[in-house]
Amino acid sequence: MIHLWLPLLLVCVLAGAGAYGVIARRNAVLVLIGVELILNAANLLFVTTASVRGDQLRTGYVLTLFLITIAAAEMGVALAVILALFRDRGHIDLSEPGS
Amino acid sequence: MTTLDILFAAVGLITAASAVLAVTTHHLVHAALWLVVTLGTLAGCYLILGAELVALVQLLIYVGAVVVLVLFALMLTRAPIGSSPEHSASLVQRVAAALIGAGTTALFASVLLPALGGELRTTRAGDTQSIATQLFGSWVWPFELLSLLLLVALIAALAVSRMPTTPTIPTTPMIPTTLTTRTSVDDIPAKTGGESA
Amino acid sequence: MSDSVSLSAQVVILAPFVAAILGLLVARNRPAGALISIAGAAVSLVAGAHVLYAIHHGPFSPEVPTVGPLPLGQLKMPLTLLVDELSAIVVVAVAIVGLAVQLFSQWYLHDDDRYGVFVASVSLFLSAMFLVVLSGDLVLTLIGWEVMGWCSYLLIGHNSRKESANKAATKAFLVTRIADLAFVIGLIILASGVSTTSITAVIDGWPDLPAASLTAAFLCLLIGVAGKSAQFPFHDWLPDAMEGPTPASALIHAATMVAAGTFFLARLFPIFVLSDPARLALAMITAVTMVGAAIIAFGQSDLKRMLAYSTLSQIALMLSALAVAPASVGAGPGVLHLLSHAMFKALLFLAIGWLSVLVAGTAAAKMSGGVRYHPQLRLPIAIGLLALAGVPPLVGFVSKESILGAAYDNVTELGSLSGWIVLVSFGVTVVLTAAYCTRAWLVLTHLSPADEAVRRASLAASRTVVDVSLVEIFTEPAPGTVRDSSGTPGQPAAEVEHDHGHAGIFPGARVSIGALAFLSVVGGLIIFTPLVGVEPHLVWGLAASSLLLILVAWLSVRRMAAMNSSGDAADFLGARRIALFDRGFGVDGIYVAVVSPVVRLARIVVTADRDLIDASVRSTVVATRWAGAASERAHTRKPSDYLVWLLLGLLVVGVSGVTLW
Repeated sequence: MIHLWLPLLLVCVLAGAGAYGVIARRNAVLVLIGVELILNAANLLFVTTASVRGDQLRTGYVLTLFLITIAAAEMGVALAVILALFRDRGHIDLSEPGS
Repeated sequence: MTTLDILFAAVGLITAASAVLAVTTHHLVHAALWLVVTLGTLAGCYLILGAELVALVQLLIYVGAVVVLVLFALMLTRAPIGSSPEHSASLVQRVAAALIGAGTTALFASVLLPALGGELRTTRAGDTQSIATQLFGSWVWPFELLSLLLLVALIAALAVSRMPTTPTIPTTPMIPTTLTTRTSVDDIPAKTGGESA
Repeated sequence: MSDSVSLSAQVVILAPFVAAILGLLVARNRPAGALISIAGAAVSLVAGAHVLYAIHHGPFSPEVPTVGPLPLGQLKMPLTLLVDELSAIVVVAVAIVGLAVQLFSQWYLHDDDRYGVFVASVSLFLSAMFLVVLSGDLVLTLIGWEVMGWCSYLLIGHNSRKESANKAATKAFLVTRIADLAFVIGLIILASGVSTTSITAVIDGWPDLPAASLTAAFLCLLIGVAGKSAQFPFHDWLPDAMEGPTPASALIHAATMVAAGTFFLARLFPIFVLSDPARLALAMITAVTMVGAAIIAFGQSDLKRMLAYSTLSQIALMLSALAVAPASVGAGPGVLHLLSHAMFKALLFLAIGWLSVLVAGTAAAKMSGGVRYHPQLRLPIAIGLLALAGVPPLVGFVSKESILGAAYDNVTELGSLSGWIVLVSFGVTVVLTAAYCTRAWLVLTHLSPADEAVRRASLAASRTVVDVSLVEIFTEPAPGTVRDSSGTPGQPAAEVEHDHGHAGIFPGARVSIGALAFLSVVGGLIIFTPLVGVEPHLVWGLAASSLLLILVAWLSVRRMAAMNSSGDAADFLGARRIALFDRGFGVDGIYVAVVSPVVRLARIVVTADRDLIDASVRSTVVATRWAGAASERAHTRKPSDYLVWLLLGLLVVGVSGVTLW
């Protein structure tokens, strides 16, 4: 037995912290960390709802697994982009004007 | 308050705190490490909610692979060790960020808590077998599609990292020696290294 | 028997067509081109003669299949040929003129590097004309009609290196095309009334249909006929078409293109006669054309253009016969004049073409005295002009008297307005025709005082001027005084080479002119045969009075000519007449007056299109560019700024989604 407001509140906090991280950071890798936090908030929401109102297809869990996979793929591509950016500019500061 | 409530409150508190630290700390590597903590404790939350499989996958992929990638990214971009406040945006932007973050939190809270927040619910445990059945039964096509996505991401990452990025180099990019030298990290111009140090 | 008629009718059309294609293939090879083109016309003549003989001796089926009927739902399109007395005799006439033209152009264009293309075009032209004449289907008529229009463009523009030839060809093409538009509409009305394009069905079916529709159809057809037959107000292209080589002019004027309109109306005569308004319109058009063209012809400074205007006048004459002939008389008088005109006008054109080669020009001043110095041309030109003037017993007299008889019948039997119009304008035209024929003859036989002195000197040198006879035309040039334009008299008759590098006339061309002259003399006898279906019918009073008018015209023009040293009666009209008459009384001005408002309107439309409509479209480009440049300047190029806006936007969307739920 669990009160649902606890995980839901955590979802809200994670999403808010992620949003803050995306905007307040200049380093591209740190921006990515914010994005990861928002993704995890979504995952937590999936799991929470799935654990209390599970359906026959186990949609919540399965989609969480998918999301984790997609996040990994995203991370790989993002790393490549950041590296290319770094090679090109010599920095990955998003507050610097691009060429 | 049930036992699960207390357990979740304890783990969730750590999660929330480390998440906030991950986005506010001035040490770049610390941010990555706080992310590890967040993701790890989030796995604990999943465990409390009765989703063992998801919790294990979270540990395996997020903590094991994604964070490693983040650390690699930090190292390859010559992230400085120690406090570096210049990696945070301007004050105005940080205020805006705080407002938007708070707004996001408030928005989600205002939607989710009234809808589900008051309920006291039983979590279902030991559901792994049925998840597996569904995953390789009903969800098999999306699953296969996802594997395709991973393949595409792999190739894309490779292509992006091998791409000649500086258009000022006039020589043909198809020459293998050029490609290998440009893809190697050591080829990064020395002056950029000096800048970020 | 009937099968051989069908075969011959098809051969008539196909022989020149094949000759045209083969001729184009061997266009570089002059002897082969000449052989093919002449053979094509000759085969058509033989086949046409066979058709003419066969249908008067024995049973035959008038409907000859071609490519088989086209099934088009409710509209039947049998695509048959229609062989009867009318088409057979016209085919023979066209084939004679065509053969003569082919023979003549072999000589006339012997040093033209595009001879092969020219004769191939002539062959195609003939094929199209045969198709129109033999057509038993409105669609086939239209095909032949359009191909002829295209070929006339090619032939008139043959000297395409000349700017004026290009202009004349374009003008002919445009004018006839515009008229053809109405022609097509008329054909569609005719075909839609009876749901078939068969001409026999059209003739059988339309008497039961509303007269108003019939009148509308014929008014449209009249516009097309007026365009093709060069009637007022579409007549102006024909004199300009004189830019084409003389054989082409002979072909277009004498037998084919301009006669096609007449023939088509004659073909539809059984229903044309039912529509009085259309007949009145035709009578008025032809009255204006025959009188106006005859007046202009009298004043022309160029004899070839004079012949062109006389063509207008004569075509108007044959069309007027169709406009007034009572149903009992039929289309015979018009067709008879078509045949006689084909003979004497082809003769005149070829003879004038011959003379133009000898004197190097067609202007009256150049040709002055031409016949006197080239006596081998005296007889052909005399025959042609006499036939044109309508002097008995030449063919022109016979056909004109039959038209006069038709008009007289109309006035006495029906008493309609069109009968009177035609009768009066006919009388005026007789005088004018005789006048310009006399003028041309006097110009051609004129001797300037200087030439007279030279001639007397040569006479003193015991050279006998011997008049040529018809027989001599067939054989050798007259042994008398043959003067080339260098002015040395008394040269021996050997026309091996003219002074401007043209070879002496070929026997074929000489024979063709002789044959046409012969037909112009004896062709009138056709009226006593059943070939054209015209009863010998002479209104003595009218015939006598028209002869009297001719005589008066002859005498007065002689007198006018005698008063001028140049011997040109037209000089009597004053110095300014050349400009006025040569411009055809400024009919071009009417075209310009009609066209220039349209051009102005088009300019306004173009301006509006470019500066209003297009400009508004182009302004979007400018606005987009401007907006793009402005937003580019506004862009900070800092990704983190836009992440703020992105997330703020997401937040706003989320909040509004929640609150507005």
